[in-house]
Amino acid sequence: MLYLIILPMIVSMLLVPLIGERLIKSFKIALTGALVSLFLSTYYLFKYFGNQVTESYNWFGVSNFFNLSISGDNLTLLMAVMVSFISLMVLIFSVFYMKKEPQERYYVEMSLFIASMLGLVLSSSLLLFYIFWELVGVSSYLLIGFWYKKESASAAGKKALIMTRIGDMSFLAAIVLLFTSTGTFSIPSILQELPALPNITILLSGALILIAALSKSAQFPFYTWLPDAMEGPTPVSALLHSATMVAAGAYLLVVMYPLLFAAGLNTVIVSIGFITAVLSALLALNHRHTKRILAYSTIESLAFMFIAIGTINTGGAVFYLMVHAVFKSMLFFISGIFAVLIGVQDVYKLKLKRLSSTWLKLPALIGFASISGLPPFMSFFAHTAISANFTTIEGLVFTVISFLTALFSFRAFFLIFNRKGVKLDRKVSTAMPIYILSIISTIGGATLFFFSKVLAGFMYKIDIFTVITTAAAFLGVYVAFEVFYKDKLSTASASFKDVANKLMRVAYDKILFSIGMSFVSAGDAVGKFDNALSKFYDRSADSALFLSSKSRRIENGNVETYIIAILIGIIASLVVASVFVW
Amino acid sequence: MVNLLSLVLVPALGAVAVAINSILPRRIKPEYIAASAFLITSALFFIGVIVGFSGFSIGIINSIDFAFTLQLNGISLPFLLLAVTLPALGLWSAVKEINSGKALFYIFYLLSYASLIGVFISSNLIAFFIFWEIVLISFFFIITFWGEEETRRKAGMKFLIFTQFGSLTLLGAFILLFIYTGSFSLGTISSMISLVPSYISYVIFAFVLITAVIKMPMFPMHSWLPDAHVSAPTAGSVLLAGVLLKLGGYVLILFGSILLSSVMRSIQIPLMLLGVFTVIYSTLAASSQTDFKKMIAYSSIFYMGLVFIGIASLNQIGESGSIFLMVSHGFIVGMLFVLAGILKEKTGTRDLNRLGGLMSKMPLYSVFLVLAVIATLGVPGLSNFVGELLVFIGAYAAYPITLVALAGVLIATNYYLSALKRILYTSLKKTMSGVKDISYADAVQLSIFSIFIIIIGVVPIVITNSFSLTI
Amino acid sequence: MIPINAEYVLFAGALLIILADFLRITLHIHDRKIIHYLTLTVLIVSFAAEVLLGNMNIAFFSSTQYSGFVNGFVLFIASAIYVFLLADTKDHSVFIDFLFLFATLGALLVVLSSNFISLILAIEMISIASYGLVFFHKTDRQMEGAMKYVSISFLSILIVIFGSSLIYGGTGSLAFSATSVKNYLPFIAGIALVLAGLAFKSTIVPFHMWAPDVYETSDGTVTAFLSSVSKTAGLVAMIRVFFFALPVSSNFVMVMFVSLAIATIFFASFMAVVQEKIKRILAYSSIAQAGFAFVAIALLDYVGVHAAIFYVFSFAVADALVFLAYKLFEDNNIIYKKDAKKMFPMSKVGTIGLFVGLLSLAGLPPTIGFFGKLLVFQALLVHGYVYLVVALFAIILFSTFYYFGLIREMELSKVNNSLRRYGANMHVKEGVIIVLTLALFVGVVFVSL
Repeated sequence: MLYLIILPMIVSMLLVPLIGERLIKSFKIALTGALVSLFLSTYYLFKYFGNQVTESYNWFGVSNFFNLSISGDNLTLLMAVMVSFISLMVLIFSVFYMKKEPQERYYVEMSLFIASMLGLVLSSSLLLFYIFWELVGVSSYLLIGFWYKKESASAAGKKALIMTRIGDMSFLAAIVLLFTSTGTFSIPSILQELPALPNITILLSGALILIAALSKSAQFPFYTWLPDAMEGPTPVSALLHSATMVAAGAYLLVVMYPLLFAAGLNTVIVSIGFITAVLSALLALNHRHTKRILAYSTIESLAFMFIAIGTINTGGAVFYLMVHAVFKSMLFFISGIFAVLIGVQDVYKLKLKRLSSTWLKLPALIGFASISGLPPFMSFFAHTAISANFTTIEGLVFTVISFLTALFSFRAFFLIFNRKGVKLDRKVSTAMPIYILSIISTIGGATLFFFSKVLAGFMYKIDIFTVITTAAAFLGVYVAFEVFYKDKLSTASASFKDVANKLMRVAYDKILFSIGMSFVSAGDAVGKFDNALSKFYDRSADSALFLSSKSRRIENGNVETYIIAILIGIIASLVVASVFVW
Repeated sequence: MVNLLSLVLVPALGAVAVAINSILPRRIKPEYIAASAFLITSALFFIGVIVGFSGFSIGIINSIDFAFTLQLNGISLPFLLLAVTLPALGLWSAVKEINSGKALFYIFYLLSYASLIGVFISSNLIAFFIFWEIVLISFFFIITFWGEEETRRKAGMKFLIFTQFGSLTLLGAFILLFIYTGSFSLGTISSMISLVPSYISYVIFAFVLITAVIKMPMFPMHSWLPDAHVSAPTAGSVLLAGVLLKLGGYVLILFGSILLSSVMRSIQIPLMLLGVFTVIYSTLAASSQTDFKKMIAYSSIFYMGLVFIGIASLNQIGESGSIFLMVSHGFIVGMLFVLAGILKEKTGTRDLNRLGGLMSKMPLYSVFLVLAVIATLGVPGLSNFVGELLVFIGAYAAYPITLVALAGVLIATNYYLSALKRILYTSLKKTMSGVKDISYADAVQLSIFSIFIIIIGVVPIVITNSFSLTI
Repeated sequence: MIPINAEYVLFAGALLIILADFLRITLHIHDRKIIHYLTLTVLIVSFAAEVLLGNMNIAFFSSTQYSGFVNGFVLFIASAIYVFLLADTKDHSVFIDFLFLFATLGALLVVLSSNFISLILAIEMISIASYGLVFFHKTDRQMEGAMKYVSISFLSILIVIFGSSLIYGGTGSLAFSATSVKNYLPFIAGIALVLAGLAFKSTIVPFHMWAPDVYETSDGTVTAFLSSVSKTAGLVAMIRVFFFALPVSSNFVMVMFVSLAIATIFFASFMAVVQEKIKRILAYSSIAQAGFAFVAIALLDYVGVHAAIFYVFSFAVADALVFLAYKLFEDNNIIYKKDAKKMFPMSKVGTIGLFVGLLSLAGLPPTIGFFGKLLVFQALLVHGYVYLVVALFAIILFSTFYYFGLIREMELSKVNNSLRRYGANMHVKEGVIIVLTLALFVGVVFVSL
């Protein structure tokens, strides 16, 4: 009966267009659905705790059976709980944020997303996983481009879908490979068969799945779609592009971990993770728009998950995933309040708004501290999980990253909450989610121990290295304080950072742009060639006509000509006849 | 048991009725006659699916084994679904667009309807060919007489010459089969196929391949398709892309992978490469188009390229995938062409550069357009996904490099999303401010398309259980 | 009891016409219609005689298994053409009736000839009769056409006579059943010449050159006659001479025949594509059809001949239909292809008849034109001439081009009610057209004959 977890949101998706706004308000339908889903996933989590239950459905059969299966075990049900919980928070916030926007379309698309995401985390058939993976991508496209009248929003949605589709195609290719070699889509069965598969298959499918994960989770080199995706409404950014959808990539790697390990891709994953982390931290420092900063921090957080996976700590990655979902979505809510109540999201402009006296300051502090992994918040414990298996070098790099992370997060914090003066409205729909999430972020650290028992492959380490990293983080806070709060701009370092980041951004964008343009030119070239081919056919028809018209002259109406022709014919046949006789 | 003859007879009688009606002093609108013919035939078909079909046979000329024999073969049903439903769905577009010479148009429309059905249920090759040619000729007339003013004559003639060549080669193949097996009957031929000497079977297959390459169409014989679509009236395009192209796939499966599979196997690799090349070529060509209808036309070539790859894979999954994809594509492309037709009707243009922001004026239309686009891109839950999945699995099993065709899907994503953006999103152009949304009847037509697409997508067994890869 | 053969009926009928006309003039009856109806009766009776009784076997004439069929449809077509002629606005002289009957008789006799002498006589009969027919309206244009026809026809007959004499020199007999060849050189030369002469009648390239001009200038009904009956006679004569009669060794003749046939089809299609006048398009198409039949004859075996006979039947009916239908429009001054859009409003039946006729000529099912092509292809493929068939496919595409180029000009979708000019007796003419059109479909039953 596990599918019941997904069902409420599907019902919501179907009901909203039918009775939303007319009979019942759309948000009520969606909220009810999310609540039921949450209840059900929690229920099943307790019911099946420590066990594994699989429900399998035969979709159709063509020589083999194409099976869809969902399973409930600790991992999947925990994820389901997380997804439905965060979704619920986001939907509550949406009541406030989307009040003046078209309701039906939004709640339909959101319901579609939530249903797909829930399905994704519960899937134990690679085919079903892929189906939801694609659906999640499509709903993301629709939601990013929600304000379709804006050129930038539509373009961002398109870009997101195209870039993630690269991953989708890789994923599909990997599924095809694996299915052909193993004859099944079932994830446990595939993983069991791994030893029997030829190396090349393992390597290829592993690489393809990795590409899929990279594109969905906006890692290097597929990351540019995520900052642009911030064009969507803030609840969308909170749910999809921080807490859930982008985490699906990491989740895929967690689920398919044995394959990647067998393919020997660990080092690759770790390297990409680190590269992305450094890159995104530096880029975050360069941006002024709150949501963009949060976007880059999301990329960085995802990179942490990848690093954890690469260092054979999948449980750690999952733990961080859930922690991240909590505090990141809360931060997005805060920026959403800025957008609606103040109308500004640029940190420098926000500085002037004197927000330091608002009720948002404390939650924001918790949030940014969580990004930096400061104790005693939950994310500190999550960071210890991430870094559990590091080698020395990795640890050093991680330290630097911690510094940068704290630096950019508190840059934002100290700029926004710079001066006092203004008071802001506090509504239930905004305060409730934010407060709940803040509380969890603060005290949730204790769950570390719970998770370590519950999740497979979970490791955490608190040692001298942890201390060093934390110290680096605090250093970052301090520097940010000096530079951004007190306005003591160390001009040399600041401008250096500025220039370096700008260069990086511009160069990478240029590369991407030229790749895109080359496809466009290829398309144009082929189009022109095809036009020419078509004209070639037309011309050959015309040339035949031309030849015909030229040869018309033979039939000139002159009897003498005709007689000559006849004589020629006769002579010719006589000649042939005589040849025959010889 | 529903007799197969009725499926052909009802539309044919409909055509006769339209003819007679046009010379009567007090006339009914021919649309109504056509609509009733469509309804009755569709009803008969669906009833037949439930209770079963019975064949029909009468001999006409025994010396050359010409018998009018109607019988379902293993793969008929899915194609029959397309042939029965799509023209009926396209009727509404025809009613809107065709204003002169209506009686004659509906005669041709009904004739092509009867013949399309006839092709898929003929088990005598002469009857098969007769129906095939009638389809072709009716189509020529539909394009030439009722197409878009500037281009229709040239496009119609191009269509005719190309496809007629395909018809002739098909006839050649049939005659060769007759000469060596002594019969024009499909059942007899398949049991006697071993009598055909090897050299001849290659020639037969070459002929069938040429027909398929022209009809599906594949590079390099595809040039007639974009022109034909741009010129044809919407109902014509729906029929053309939805059913006519599938004729090529049908003959290739029937005479290639089922009857002459050993021949096909020996040139499998070049065939798959041809498929991949067509896929990449057509999708690149599509991305440079600015006329929405032409873009859809090129993307049709793309999907038929995938179908070709599926057929060439010569394994059960790939072949099944190709049939599935043909059915799915028929509905989806039919819907897209209807949408393009509505676009032209409401805004006066299909030029992507001149459109924009229509979502605000045509919200209901937008829902359908977005649905059609994500359907065509192979998003799961809608029909194309299963077809593509099966084709790729089959293709990979046969010749791994063919997965390169996945890149084509990516490129398709790009141009379809761009088109969507240019039509629906961003700002509304001033010239478009008077645009109205689709009518109730349009919505019904589009909903029926959508229902088929969704049902086939969510419950694929309705299609996968309807055929088996035998004669 | 004298068997009442069709040929006797015709012959007697022709003489009867003369007598009757003499009577008419004596009795001062000015209406010539009676004579015309009499002619029609003669034709119909002979058709009935042919269908019911058939077979003739005297002196230099003998039946073969197909001659009954061929004579049957020849008479059918001739009757149809004559009805059309009857319904024509301008009355024609009785002499035309006489010539018509004799021309038809000549065609029947050609089919039945079993000896070179009778062959020559029969050809002369058709030719001389048709000289008059071609000059029907006595206009200058028709004079020009007639002169060309006469001069070239003379030449061809001379060639046939000379060829026959050479064959006599080679085999020692003028009968078709001569089996031994005593002296190859004159024999082969004779064959070549006879071929040339008969090719003239059958409009095979390069002996066809008179045809477009003569077809164009003659009256529509006469063109119908020339292109159906006369051409049938020529082709069947070829079959009679080269298949049933002479022990000609296959390779040389076959190669020559096939080359001529391909040349005919190709050249005629080539020329047809660029024509602007409708009648010339139809004329060239008729020439191409002959080429197609000739390809089947070229195979020189039973399958080929069977295919050729049926093919000749199909295009004869179609050609007659097409030229007659066109005559409806010709009388109303629709000459050029671009004027074709005026056809449909003028006469729906006529346009549809012309349309179906063109479809049959193009070889589209379910008309007999398709079955004809089917049989020809089958005959070729049985012999294994795959490349030849492929070449024919290419040429057929050419023909598709001009047939449908003409059809699409008819603009059937635009219903324009403003042009309504009727000739006299339109219904009779349309009736004939309908009958011929139906024949195009019903004729399928004759495939087995």
